[in-house]
Amino acid sequence: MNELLKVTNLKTYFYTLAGTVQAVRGIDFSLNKGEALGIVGESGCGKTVTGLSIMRLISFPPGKIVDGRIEFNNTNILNLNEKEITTIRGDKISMIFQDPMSSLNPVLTIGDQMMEPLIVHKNYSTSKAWNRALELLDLVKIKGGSNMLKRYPHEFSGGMRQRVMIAMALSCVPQIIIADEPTTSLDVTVQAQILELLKDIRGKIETSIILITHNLAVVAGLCDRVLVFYAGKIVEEAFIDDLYSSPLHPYTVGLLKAVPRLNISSEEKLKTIPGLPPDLISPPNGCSFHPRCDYAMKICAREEPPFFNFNNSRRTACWLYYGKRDLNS
Amino acid sequence: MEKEILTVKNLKKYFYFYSGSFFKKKKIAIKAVDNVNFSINKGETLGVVGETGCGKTTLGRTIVKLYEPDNGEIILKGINITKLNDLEMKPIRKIIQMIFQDPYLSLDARMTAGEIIAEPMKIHKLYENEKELNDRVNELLGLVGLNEEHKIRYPHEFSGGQRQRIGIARSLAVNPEIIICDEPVSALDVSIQAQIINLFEDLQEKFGLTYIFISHDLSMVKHISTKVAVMYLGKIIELADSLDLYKNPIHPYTKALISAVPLPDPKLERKRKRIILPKDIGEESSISAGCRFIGRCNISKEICKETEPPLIDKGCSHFVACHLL
Repeated sequence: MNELLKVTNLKTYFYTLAGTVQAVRGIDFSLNKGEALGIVGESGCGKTVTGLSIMRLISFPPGKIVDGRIEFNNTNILNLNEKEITTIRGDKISMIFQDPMSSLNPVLTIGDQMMEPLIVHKNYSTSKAWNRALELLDLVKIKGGSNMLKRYPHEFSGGMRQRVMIAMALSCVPQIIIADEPTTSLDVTVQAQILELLKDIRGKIETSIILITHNLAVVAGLCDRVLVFYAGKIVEEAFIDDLYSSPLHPYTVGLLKAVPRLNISSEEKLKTIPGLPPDLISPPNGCSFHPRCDYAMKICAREEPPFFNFNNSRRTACWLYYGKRDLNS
Repeated sequence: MEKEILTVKNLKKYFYFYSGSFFKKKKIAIKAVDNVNFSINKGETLGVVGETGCGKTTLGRTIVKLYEPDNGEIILKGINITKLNDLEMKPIRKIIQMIFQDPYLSLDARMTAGEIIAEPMKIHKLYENEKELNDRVNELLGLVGLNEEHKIRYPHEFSGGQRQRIGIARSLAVNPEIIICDEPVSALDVSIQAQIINLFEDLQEKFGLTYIFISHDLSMVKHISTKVAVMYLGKIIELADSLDLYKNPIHPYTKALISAVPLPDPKLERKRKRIILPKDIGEESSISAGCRFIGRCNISKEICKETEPPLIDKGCSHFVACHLL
């Protein structure tokens, strides 16, 4: 196993006036070299906070990583000080943010912003960084060369800005790229371009990707393995083919049935998941999904389900699978 | 049953802005809606799809006359409402209502849910006394899956899905026959989207409502619509029955659009060949004399540069605007 990143029992809380929001409530997962891992879930399930925690971008106050370990190349990055983490952040682990409109600095040219990580992390000279920026533009398929580097973000369309963000994230050839909803604010045809680009880059550069998204279809095209998040916890983990062909957790099942499919026409109504996701200031006892679950049993309200492991590194946190060793039986 | 409730003919809405230096100002028109024609029968759902900036929202807003149309006709139940002023429009607004995209911005933060739902009925003076009005508000809350306790709460106390339900209750308050839904679920989570879509379908069955469903989500539009119009830079480029359109898309843009939608199925995703369009929709600002899609089209010929293709019936009321097909 080429384990690159290992997250153990991560807990990230936010201290607000209304109470403590338990955004991430103890999650474990690992990421291998060259792998693309998808994190899916709805708003407020803790998927973005997980990404920010790995980047050590949780600001205190109000947020704090209260427990757990994040091991990157066998060092716990939670023990590093601010100076040490800067040698990792943006260099070995980089992030692509959701909103390309607000994550670029409007008063600096595209070139300045693309050169910055190279100058900071790699000690490149300005001219060397400029040349590298040109290469990167080429990699993300923006035509126009140095002319483009002299432009400002407002002169670029949404899709082009997201390409610039991807180029910046790639600039230091990171070992991990965390892409947080990279296509959510883009149009479908542009989304297709960006997804195609990410696939293309995966083939060219040996890098692991963590793709955070609410869109199950986006994950299907790009990832090898998926984690399903609900209310700050992982409820299911599987390789993508397994997850989409035979989802285990009732939440995953519901989520897959709730989206209409373009390739299947049916007159049937969409299946809904009743109710709302829980308030993470006071999450429900037992399984956090039990108030919305069709299969809830008595134990679900009382005790939190542990992970039940199956072959092909599948696991799910649901009492329905208690005592089952093999999924085929 | 086949009864036309709304007909739109040659509808145009341009927005103007000025560009250039102080002395050489040039008036530039953004043709947000340019010569749009369609009609809907009672009880149907017309889906309008397209990317950002294609004019789908402007089309919706122009039909309810939130924007004054520049040209063309809007005929609602046999009445030409194009030239009506605000006062004359008031009774018409009982027939046609609108639901907005953002449930966070479309509700007045200083009114309770009850007041928001009651307001259109007060404006149209539908009920004589408070009690009747109150009963009606309770009934509407029930219809959209909320209850009486919610009446005294303010919008910020609700979740996004619940707010959208309040918006739906408000639009239903005056018993409209046609509702324009402008991206009503795009701000909501997947599991909540399905709840709201099912609510729309239930209400349509119950009251025989007609919807114009504006959205960028092709799978959702396919699910809910009977007819679908695809818009590109202010024009309808393809219009057909929902099943027909998704099965046999004709226009190269519609083909690309459908192939760009990711499917929640990894096996199909690996097999699928995507048609990737070059450029973004926003990159071609000036529209030339010819076809609007020319800059991104992979099959364009000489004729596309010169004349604009009209929207022609290619059989079985499948309308397409393309010279080559």
